[in-house]
Amino acid sequence: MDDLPREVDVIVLGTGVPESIVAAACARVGKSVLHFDHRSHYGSMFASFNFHDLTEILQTPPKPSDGDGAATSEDGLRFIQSRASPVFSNVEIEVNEHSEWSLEKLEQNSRKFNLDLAPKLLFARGKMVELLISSNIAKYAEFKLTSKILTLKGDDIVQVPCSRADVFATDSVNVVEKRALMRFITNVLDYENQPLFTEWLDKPFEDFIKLKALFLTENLQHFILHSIAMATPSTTTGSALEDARKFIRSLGRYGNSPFLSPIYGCGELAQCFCRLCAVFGGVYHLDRQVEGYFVDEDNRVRAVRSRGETFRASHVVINQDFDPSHTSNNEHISRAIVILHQESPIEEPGAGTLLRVPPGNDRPAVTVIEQGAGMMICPKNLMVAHFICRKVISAREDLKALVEKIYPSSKRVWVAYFNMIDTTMRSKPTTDDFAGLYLMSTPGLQLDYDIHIEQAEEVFRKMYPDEEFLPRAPDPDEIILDFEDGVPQQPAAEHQGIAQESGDGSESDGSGNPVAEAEQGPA
Amino acid sequence: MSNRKKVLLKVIVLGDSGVGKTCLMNQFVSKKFTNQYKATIGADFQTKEVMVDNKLITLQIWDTAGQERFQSLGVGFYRGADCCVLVYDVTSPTTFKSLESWRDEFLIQSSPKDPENFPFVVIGNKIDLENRSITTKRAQSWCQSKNNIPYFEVSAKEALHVDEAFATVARNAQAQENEVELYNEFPDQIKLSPLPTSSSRQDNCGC
Repeated sequence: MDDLPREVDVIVLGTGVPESIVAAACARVGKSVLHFDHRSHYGSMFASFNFHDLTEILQTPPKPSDGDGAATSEDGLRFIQSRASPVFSNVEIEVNEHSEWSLEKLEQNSRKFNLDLAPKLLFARGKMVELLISSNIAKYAEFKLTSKILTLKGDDIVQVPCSRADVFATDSVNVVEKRALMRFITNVLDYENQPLFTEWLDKPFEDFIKLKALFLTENLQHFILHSIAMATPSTTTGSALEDARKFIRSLGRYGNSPFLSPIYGCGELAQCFCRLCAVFGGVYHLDRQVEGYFVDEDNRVRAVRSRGETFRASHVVINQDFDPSHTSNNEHISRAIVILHQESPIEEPGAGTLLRVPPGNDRPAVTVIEQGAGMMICPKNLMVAHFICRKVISAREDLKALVEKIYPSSKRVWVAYFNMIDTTMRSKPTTDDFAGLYLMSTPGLQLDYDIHIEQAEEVFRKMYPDEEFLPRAPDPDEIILDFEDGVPQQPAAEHQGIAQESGDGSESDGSGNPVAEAEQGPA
Repeated sequence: MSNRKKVLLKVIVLGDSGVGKTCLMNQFVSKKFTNQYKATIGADFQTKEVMVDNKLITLQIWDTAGQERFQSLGVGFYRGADCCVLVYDVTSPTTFKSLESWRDEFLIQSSPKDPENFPFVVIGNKIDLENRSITTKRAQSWCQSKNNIPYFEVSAKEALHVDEAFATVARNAQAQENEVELYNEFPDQIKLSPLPTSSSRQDNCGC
């Protein structure tokens, strides 16, 4: 009974966020899904690690695909080897010898850490939050609000007033500025209808702010440009205003901050989607090597080869760890993970802080996310700061000066610098070389998961254009298990049942479903 | 006041594939049993309200969703459990031997504050079958060696002793929850829902 299915609708390789979303979406509408990862944990490049595992994974070179299970051909199909591209480079670790938190003590407390490879924040009205709610996957995780939004202005770290309450409470803007900022925020909400904005939509936002929005002081321009719209010099006014609007709309949905973070780290999110996939019949096997693919004469992928066994599927969804096509012109991201002494025990250890550092002379814009023990990502009395920027030279060269400027040596316990590949610039999720093979993106620089959700939905629609993308899953108390006595149902019928249910949308889940029936009200 | 607070306890059910985890849950929650083996499709967690010492408790019982079949349960599954039920099949020695590793795995993955006293309950299922291979004595002595884990022998099929087992689950989970609440320093988690509580919304008039 523990044999893996040899023929399924979809095989998914890798458990990062976008692949896991596709896996969940397919299983949710009744497709059979086989989901492998060659690592023994969920999340791929979106994973969170304890201290021990992070140090290990950063310092272990990728396993070269051994030729063990490789095959030349089968049933007239051609074998194509999967090649893992190295994920990390330029790894440099610095340990503060003078800290009471020695390496040994960090190791002893290893499991209290959940250190994100790809730290992100969720806009309260961003695509991830909306998807978690509409699909009813949100029940698998808990979240906290980011409590402060800061920016580096000159040499000073200042708080960005973003909500109405902040604007009125802050000392960093004067009374005249307060009114101007409130007016700008109000205007952004329907910027399409504001003549002030419309003719600038295709032009750089930075120019617009400096040349056109004269009522904004230099102080306010900084806040809007670098924190609220998070614009770079090339961002157009249209997309900056869209971002600013998302920021402003996100405020107040769950509290006085636009951002949420999952407790226990961002690695939880991929697991939530995998759980939904499993609940709807997806079969999981972590720690499972994949040698490659079988393709037919039209270069369409027909099967996956894993541990010398062949698994057939109509569609194969993969991440960069399983890319057979040697994509080499990847961009890279520079990262630093800094473990810190918590300065003051009352300094909001329960929440997180976002610091946006505008681009400098020789440095790209940097995002800093700082979180404490209340996020369940580190032991008490410590904090963790994540630095993220586009790679220019190497992670250490790009970030060291800033890390040390913000956190003096007495505060630092442990710092890891590393570069990670970034494939988010690639324009399409399919590989050029093979049909039926979908290559999903790495985490990228973006703060939220919008691009990953768009990509997952795009891939799902290519595979199943007539199916609904992640309709709401029924709550447990809406399910009545069907015990039609003594009549064993075929597994196929179960799948069909779930597929039927998915068509009904959220209004009346599952009427007429032989397996799970919607029930209005308590039994 | 505190008595009226709604108590929700998370219980996770572990054990090898095929020992009857889902059947046990179904029997306890819905009083139903089916003989057919399904690798747990569509089952997520089930909730049931029980009275413990005059207090209404909602048990939220989480199924593995089949992710245990190839040792692929993610750490997220273990988070925040108030009690862990370990299930084996009294006719299958391998499933009994696995109890040790399931217990270890749970303690590693969930890292409870006080692992020594974390509430486990061990259930030997399928006592309705003839070909029993693990004696009560053997199972009891293993449970005693693990800091006296409560042990129940049940039949999900015949509805034998299932309710008693889960009554102990509820009682011990609640004792654990009381302990945890004392230590919960960061209680302000947010559950995402389409309609957040109105107190957190920015709809109050500014004047």
